Amino acid sequence: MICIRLLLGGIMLLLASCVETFDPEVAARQTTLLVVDGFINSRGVTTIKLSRTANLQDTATTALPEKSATVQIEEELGRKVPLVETLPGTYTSPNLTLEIGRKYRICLRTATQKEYVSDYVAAITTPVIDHIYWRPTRDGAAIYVDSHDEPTNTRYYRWAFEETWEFTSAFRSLVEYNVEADTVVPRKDNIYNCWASSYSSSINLVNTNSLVENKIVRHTLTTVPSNSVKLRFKYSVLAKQYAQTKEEYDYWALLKKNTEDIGSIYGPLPVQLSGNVHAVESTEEAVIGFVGVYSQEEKRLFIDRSEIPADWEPAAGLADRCIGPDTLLPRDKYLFALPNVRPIGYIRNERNYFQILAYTYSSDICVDCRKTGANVKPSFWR
Amino acid sequence: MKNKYLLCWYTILVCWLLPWQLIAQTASSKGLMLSLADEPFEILVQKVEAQSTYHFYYDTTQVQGLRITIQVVGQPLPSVLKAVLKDSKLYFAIDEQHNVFITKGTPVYTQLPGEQSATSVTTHILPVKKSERLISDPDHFSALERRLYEIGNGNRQLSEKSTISGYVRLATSGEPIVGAAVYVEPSGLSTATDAEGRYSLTLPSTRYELWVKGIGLRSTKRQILLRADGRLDIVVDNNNTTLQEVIIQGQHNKNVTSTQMGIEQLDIKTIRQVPTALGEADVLRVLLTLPGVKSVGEGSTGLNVRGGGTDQNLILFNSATIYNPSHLFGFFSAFNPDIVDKVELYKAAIPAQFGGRLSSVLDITSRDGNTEKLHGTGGIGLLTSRLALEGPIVNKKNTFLVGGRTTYSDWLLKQLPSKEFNRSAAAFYDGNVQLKHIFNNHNTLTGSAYISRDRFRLASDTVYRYTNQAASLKWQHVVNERLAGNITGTYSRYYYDITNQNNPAVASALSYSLLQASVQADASYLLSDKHTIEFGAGSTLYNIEPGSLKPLGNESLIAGTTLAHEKALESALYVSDKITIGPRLLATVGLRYSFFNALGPRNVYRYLSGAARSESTIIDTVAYGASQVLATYHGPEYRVAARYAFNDNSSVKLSYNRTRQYIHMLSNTTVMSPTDVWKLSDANVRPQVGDQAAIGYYRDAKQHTIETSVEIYYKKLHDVVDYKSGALLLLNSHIETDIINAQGRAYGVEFLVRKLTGKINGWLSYTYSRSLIRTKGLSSDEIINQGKYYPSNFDKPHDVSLVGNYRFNKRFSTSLNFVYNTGRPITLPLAKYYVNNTVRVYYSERNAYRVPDYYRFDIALNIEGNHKITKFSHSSWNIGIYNLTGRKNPYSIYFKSVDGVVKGYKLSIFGRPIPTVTYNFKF
Repeated sequence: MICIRLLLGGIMLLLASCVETFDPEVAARQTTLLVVDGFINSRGVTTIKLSRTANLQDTATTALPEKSATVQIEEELGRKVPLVETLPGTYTSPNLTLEIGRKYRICLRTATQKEYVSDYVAAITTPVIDHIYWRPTRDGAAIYVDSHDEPTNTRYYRWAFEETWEFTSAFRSLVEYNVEADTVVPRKDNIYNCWASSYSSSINLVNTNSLVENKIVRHTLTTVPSNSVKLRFKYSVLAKQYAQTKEEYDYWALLKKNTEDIGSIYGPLPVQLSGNVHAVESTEEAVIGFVGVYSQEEKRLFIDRSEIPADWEPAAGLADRCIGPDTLLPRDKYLFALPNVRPIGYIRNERNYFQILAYTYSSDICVDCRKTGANVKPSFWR
Repeated sequence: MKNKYLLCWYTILVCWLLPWQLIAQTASSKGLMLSLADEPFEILVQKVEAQSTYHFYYDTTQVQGLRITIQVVGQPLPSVLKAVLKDSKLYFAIDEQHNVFITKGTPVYTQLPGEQSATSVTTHILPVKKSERLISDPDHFSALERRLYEIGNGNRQLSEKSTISGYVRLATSGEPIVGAAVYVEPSGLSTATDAEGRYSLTLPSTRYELWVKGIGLRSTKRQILLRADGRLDIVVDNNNTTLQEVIIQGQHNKNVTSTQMGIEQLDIKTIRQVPTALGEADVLRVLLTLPGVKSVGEGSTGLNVRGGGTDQNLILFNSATIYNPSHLFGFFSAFNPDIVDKVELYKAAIPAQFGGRLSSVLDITSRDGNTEKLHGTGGIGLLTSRLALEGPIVNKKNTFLVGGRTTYSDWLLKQLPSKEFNRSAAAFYDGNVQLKHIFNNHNTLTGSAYISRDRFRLASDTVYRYTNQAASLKWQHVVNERLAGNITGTYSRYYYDITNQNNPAVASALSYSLLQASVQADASYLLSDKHTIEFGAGSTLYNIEPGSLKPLGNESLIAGTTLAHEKALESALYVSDKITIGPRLLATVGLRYSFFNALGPRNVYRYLSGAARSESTIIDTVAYGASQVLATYHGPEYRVAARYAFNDNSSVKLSYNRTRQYIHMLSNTTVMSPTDVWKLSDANVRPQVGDQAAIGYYRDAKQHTIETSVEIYYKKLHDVVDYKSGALLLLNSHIETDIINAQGRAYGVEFLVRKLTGKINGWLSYTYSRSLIRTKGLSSDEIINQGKYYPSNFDKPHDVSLVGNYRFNKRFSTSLNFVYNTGRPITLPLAKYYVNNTVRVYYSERNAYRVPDYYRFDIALNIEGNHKITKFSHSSWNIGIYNLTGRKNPYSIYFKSVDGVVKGYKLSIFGRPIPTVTYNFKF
């Protein structure tokens, strides 16, 4: 149990307030709720993910997919476009251009023949991201976006992002083990340099209702801490901007309150949240999700190590966490067949270069960067 | 027979007062049989000494010429002597050894001043003396108690009634004593002093003992002979600082005798003894240890009284309303303990005089300045310092009291190494001024001003500031012995602003302001000994600026917005009668009628009837001009209470009251926060109405030193304000679309045992109570928990509080606090799911779960400096430990998705023992 002194006006240090992790006993639920994740893309491919809620105690880190459902986009008094299940629980449409102003909805039937529909929502277009840029701040690299739209268009915005950064494993492995031949041979591929990526996890919203212009200026997308491993070599972020209706904005704002802002003394109360998806037959059944109709605007930014202030010290990542390599006698090299023992190099006899005294090795995660990323340079990387 | 005695033996015991006639009595004397016809005094002495154990001491020269004619059978000696010495200039006194002293010109005291003995009570007969000198001297007090005061110039018969009235004041400072019990023996008729220390009793014209008792006072009595209407001012002494041992002889007590129920009275001495987290005596914290008073958690000063919301308490400071009674996130109450005199909380049977809030009235009054000389009090604590000065101006008729308090938390934060703390700031101060002018016995003018101000910044560039201002002016006027009244004008303002300058493009200042001005007239009239009528009227004008947003700096794109002002006039008339139906049955019947007019200029939205209110159901906008009435509400508020006394020690009381509230606090945080919005009722927001019925049984034990009570209440609240999920409360021009009308229901039983005197004192309370709400809306987002009753945020069924003090000696005392209650209700997640690659949680029905139970121990040690009278300043130390066991009482439990993983957290406000040291001084 770690007792963190919560910051609330600093004074709380003196008051010794603390936050610790806690697991209350909440009865596990028998029934699970349908979760509809995604939006109808008014200009492009629509991806809808169907899943089920899980009990809090469940240890699985991914959603339970809702497979074999029939999903389609319906235009009000118009055409119907079916979606295809490309991955379990993930349904994808062809590239579409929807008519702005017309209303669309998602209509789906599960494998158990239960039908669900979302409310009809008018299609809108997201304005382009005018600029994406960053500035060093005392917290790290703050990434900002600017945008603007006609004053009569929607004044509600939401952002998400995908970030990618270059990193290395702790030890550069020069050799690999050939199981069939029981030999240690020079390594051909590079498992030292990799790229990792992640998705934004917090809900980022703003509205321009209180502004004289429908203009987004210097809105913070995210802040990369100055000591983050992400800034060690090169970092890239892809901003995704979505125009929102007021209803959808309210839904996300409430979801943010419910799951991100709560807990402080003046924090809001959590609420039971309902979206715009309903079961056709039962009004009692709760469904989670809000399906809006809008386009997606993207813009990418790179931050190179050479651009960051000299006094910033990005963490070394794995190199900081892995302890020095251990050694293994040549006769024990069969142990390299074990999944968590990876050879790094040789220790040769100084007088006899060809005599290998031992192999150096470390654990998988410290040697193979593919365990936490991919060693293929992303196509957009420059 | 001895005709010589030592003069010096008694001269040291002799009274210093003028030679009025003295009569002494002994209660335990046997009856005498005497038959004398024109005999000298010596014969009487012989006969009495022969029949009894009495021994006479007198000077023969002084009794020369005294001839006695008397026939008595079975009469005690005192009455015999009283008769025979009636027309002589002789005095007698009898001590416990049956020695009888006869003196001429100077009376003899057979006991030391201050002693009280059942066997020997001496009495002076004195001409009426209208008011007593302000001397705190035990000898002086015992002399006052033995005098006989003749009240009124007349000689009414027993059958005729006369009124005695006057003021009860503190000997040392001349401050009026409020709420002291005044009663007469043997009739038992009682009253209590009012806010100005005034009392009044109407009685058959005869002789009485008039007693004055109160918390923290030495009980005192006066011998009175009521001849006609008249006045007697009484001075009383404190019982806490005198070095003499104090014996409280209780005979009657407010707990049992008054009709008032559901009232909690605390004086500042009691408040000071209770240990607090930050070492500073805190009015609101102490209230929380009383039955029926709860708060959501440690970080809030918002009170929930008998299941009512935090906005349902009328908080008055010297008659002016205070809207945010807290400092520094609620860890301090905004009242300086050095200037507070007493605190009264009405939970039920709210007097008709008060109105405007549903659940309770918290009446805080500051002290009057000292009339004698300049005094100061102050304290230095770990986070705050305070100072108060008081004294007369020019003469005793004018007094002042000035107090101030500030914190150095800002400075402390700067010293902390953490970057986040350095960037935070928190500061507050409060100040008070009170001036009083006594024109004469009938007219007094009191002026009071108050300010409290807070500013904080939470490791960001957003600065919060809020301010309470209050002022009042009160003219007290006594028309005659039966009619007295006062007129009060008050002004209150609460305002806050939030400035954000992080991003120059959206730099802004949001502000809110509430202003109220009131005039109230109150009077009390003694119709007869059976009826005391109280009546009055008052009016309050509100002017609220519900929000304005202004751009800051040249780069800001913020468009200035200002919501239309809200204006309203709230008025009320009331009358109540305190009726003595019989010696056992007493009732107070009151009616308050309140009116509310919401005033223009304003644009009012009309909504489609039968549909849920939203922007899309607005059907019309009606414009009202300046001062045009846009909505009117009015209704009666019943205030009824009755008491039936079984005997001196036990009674049963009943009460029913209705209250109406026209101003509502909108907040969607669990606790009272500085950015809450107060909103007036208008065409779309109805007033809240509450009904409460209560019954209680009261019993005193051990001569009224131990008070016990059990009260049961049931309460219904109508049109309480609740909000839709995700309501936007700030800068919302159609806030009614986010408000839901809810119904509340609360009930409970409260047990209290209290001992207020002696070496061990304190109280123990237990409450079982429930507080439930239900919302009935038209659309699904207006219905919470399917329209069923659900527990409110402060529904904590079991609640135990113990406040105990033990005084080792005059200089050392300890205090102990114990608090236990059921954990408060919370909403917990039931399931998790993934949206947008992030895990989120799905919540249970509102308040379906509870945090673990709460308990806490605190201790404190009070060390007084020595009591040498010549010292320049008297000081004391207060050392305490709050949360002695260091229990991490959960304030809240919440689930947050951090880096894509849902984690449960428990937040404790005081997660370890908190030591405090405060140095207090007085000069």
